[in-house]
Parts: sequence; structure tokens; C-alpha cells
Amino acid sequence: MPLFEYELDKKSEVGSDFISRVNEELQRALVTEKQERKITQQEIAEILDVNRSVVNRRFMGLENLTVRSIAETLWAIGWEPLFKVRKISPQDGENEQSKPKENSFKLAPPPSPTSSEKPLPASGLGKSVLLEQL
Amino acid sequence: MATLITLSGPDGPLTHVQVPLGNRVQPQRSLYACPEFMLGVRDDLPKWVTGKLNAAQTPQEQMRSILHRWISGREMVWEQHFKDLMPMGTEAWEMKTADLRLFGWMYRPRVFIASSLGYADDYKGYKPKRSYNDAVQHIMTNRNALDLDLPKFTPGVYDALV
Repeated sequence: MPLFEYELDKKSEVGSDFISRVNEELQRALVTEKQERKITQQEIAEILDVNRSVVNRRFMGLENLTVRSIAETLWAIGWEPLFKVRKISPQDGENEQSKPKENSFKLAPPPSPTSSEKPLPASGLGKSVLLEQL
Repeated sequence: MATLITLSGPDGPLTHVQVPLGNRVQPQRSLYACPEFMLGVRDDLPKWVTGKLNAAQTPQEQMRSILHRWISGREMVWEQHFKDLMPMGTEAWEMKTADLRLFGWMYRPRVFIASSLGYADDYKGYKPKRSYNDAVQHIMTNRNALDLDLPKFTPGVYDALV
């Protein structure tokens, strides 16, 4: 079995990829901020008026965050999101190298995700992270 | 002894695992898999559902996510705070998602060989169904059994290997 292309249905891929991107940006922002000043998840939780476990789940990438909670979480550490969209162009195909070969196989589509998160109030300004799907 | 290319050839035991990377992204790292890992991906993974952590992504999506991160060369570890790639001792490594454990080793820097796939909840709790020690032993058994060119693994720390 020389090659296996792990592929989901396109809808799951784009949704899951964007969740991953947002999570990575949140983690990068927090780590960068921690390098500059001492800030704990407890302090962030107090700023947001939520339990520390809520903050932990957000930064661990376990939550399907609402747009509001992304903005508020970043605001709490002195950052802000930047959001852009763009039309998918015909050239935005997959890499030739990552296309399945004749002897590859794919995985069946997964079940749909079910998790959701309760929205929270307010946001602010500071440093920024880019929440653009590249 | 055989090269990685030979072992992942038509009749070889290893599988070269890839994931669609998207526009303007080139592979920076590679992942090969032992038959046991592929069995887990084909037979077990499709049946798994989100576990105790109630993650937003399904286990199937988590697999794509971790493969994409590894192969595209993005960060696997953010200092001490977020670690999705951890050493397990005896030059065994574990890639982690909320619900998945990808056990394996570094054949060369940026080349991961996945030995087996686990469901995270099976390794948790007072009386876990499976143990990390067994996973490490399993990696060593698979590594020793593979007719790979020496050295069969590269020792070192995260920064040197990733």
C-alpha cells in the first residue's frame, strides 16, 4: 500500500480547517502575550467573567467558538481578530503532489460535529490576529 | 535493510500518508504508517465519536487537522502551553488531538512513522483500557520488526527533529 490520501468531504474539511486555524491563532496570541507579561488563565477568566475551565477549553481548541467569544477572548489578552473573506478562484486547487494516485484510497465522510458554545458580551482593541482561511 | 522509499513501495509494509494541503501549501514534513496504524484509520477511526472532552471537531476531522499541521510544517508545540507532539521515552513519540493518539517514532528529522492509532479516552481514568507503556512497547516492537535502513530512528529533542 504505497499511498494513502486522507480526505474528508469538502464541507467537513473547510469547517474543520477553519476551526483549526482559529485555534492555532488563539494559541499563538496567548503564547506571544505570555512571553511579554505574566498572564494566567484565571486572570483571563476574571476579565471575561467566566469559569477558568471555559478559558482553558477555548485555548485548548476544544470549543466551536462563536465570533463573539473569539473577539472577547482575544480582547481579554490585549489582542483583536482581523477577518477577511475572498472568493475561491479556479487556481485554488490542491497541490499536484497531494492529489490521490490510482492506487490510493479515501476515507468515508465522518459524522457531523455537534458541539456549540454559549455566546458572551463585549470586545475591545489591542494586538491582532488574522482569522483568514489561507 | 531497505530504504523508506522501498518499504513504502507497491509491496512494502509502510504507507505514505498524505492529506490535501490546499492552495500555495507545500509539504514540509512526511508521515509514513505501519499496517497497524492503517488498520486503525480504516476500521476504527470511522466508528469513533467525540469523547469525554466533547471537542468541536470529530475524531475524523481531528485526524485531518493533525496530519495537515504535521505535513504542512506548522507548529506542533507552542512552548510549554500547548503540546500536540510529545516524547514518550525510548525515542517514541505521540501526536495528540482531543480524541486521538498517534503513536510512532521519528525516522529522520521531519519524518514520522506512525505505529498505531489510539482513542484518547482508552488511556484515561483510574483503570484505563490501554496503557502508555504498552503503546511504547508496541512502537519498539514495530520499529524492530521493520527492515529499515539503520539507524531506524533519530534521537533528539523537538527542536532538532521537527
